[in-house]
Amino acid sequence: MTGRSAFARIVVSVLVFIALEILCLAMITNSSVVQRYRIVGAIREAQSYIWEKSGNIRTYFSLSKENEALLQENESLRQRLGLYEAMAAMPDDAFRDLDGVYNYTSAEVIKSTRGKQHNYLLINKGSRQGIAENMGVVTSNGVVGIVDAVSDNYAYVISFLNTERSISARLTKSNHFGLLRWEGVNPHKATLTEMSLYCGAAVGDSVATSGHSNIFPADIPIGVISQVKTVSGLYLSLDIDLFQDFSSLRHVYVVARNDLEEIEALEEKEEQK
Amino acid sequence: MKNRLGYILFYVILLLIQVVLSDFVNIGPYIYLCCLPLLVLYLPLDQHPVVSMLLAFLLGLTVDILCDGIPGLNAAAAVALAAVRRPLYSAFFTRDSLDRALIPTIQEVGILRHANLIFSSLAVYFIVYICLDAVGMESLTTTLLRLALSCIANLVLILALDFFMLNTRE
Repeated sequence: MTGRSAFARIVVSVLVFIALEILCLAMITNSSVVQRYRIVGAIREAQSYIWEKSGNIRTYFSLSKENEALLQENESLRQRLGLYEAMAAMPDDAFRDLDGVYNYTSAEVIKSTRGKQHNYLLINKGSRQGIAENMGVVTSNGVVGIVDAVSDNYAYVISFLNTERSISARLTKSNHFGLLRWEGVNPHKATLTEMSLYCGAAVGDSVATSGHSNIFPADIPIGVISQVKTVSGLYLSLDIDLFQDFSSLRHVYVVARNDLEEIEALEEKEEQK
Repeated sequence: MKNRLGYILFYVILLLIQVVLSDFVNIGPYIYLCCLPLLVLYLPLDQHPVVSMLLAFLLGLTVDILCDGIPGLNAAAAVALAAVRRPLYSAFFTRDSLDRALIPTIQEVGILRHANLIFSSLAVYFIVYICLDAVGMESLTTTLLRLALSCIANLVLILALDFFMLNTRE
């Protein structure tokens, strides 16, 4: 008998042996409840063991994928961490927006006027940097102005120190809001008009942006009330000491609402009705 | 037992003895008298192991059915014995005696060697049989006691039968 045929004979014998034993076990388990319970239980236990081990092996071989996913997650977290670190390292007049509704672009003031009735600023960011007309310009100390015109790399900003412009502002204590306007005299003072007699305004109360316009986000601090006056017995006029010192203005943020187009389209649709 | 008819007669007689032992002889829970191992051991040595296992399976199944036992229990033990039968013979007998394709007689190999073969065969048979029968319900001590007593009792029985058959064979 050659080695190969002897090996084949052994293999066939082993296979037949296994088949016959399995057949016997099947007959036993089908004939006796006790044997069925015990043998099937033992088989299930062996299956569980094999499944557990094979599961461990699969887990081991999928470690590279898990590792890759963790690396991607780590990279994403690092990017976010870098963003937060950069925001934490911003100068005092930097502004932070974590909810993602507004997009901020930092810019530097390269020219500004303060002594006129219609003041303006020039900043070093333009349309190439995503700046467009009617975007707000702010610092953490308050509102600076509104972009009026843009070139490729510069923008012309109508300053808040402009007698023809007003913004919506509110009392942080009571949430009553009115129009904040510069009176054209003192660059450190503005007037909040058309306030209700019952708004509860008092000297020292703070004023912030209301967020009712599409240009400026809410809650940018503007200033504090320095005087409360009643106008014709109908409403209040509040003198505001501005936080923002326009004479030292250097770094600003151009703010753009991400969903502005959607809001404007909705407003336009409503106006056409 | 050189002709086929004699071989068949030998197996029919042993099967009948097995049926009588299973149905009418009860000597306690620890001893299971069984001559089926002898039937498997005396299958022709020169046939293919697969054939031996198939024949052992049929013999075991016949005993299971005739003796009203659990179908497959004796069959499983008989198949296991058939699978190791040739190595057992090789362990206890010389190659010369095996080449003759005949089961060595007690007179040829001596009572001690023959008893060793029978006892080893019984051990294989009853390990499978008792393990499947008890399936972990009995304590290890009970299982070992049952195994030892069954092996010893059946050794005596098979040697007696073998001695009787030896005379028949001659």
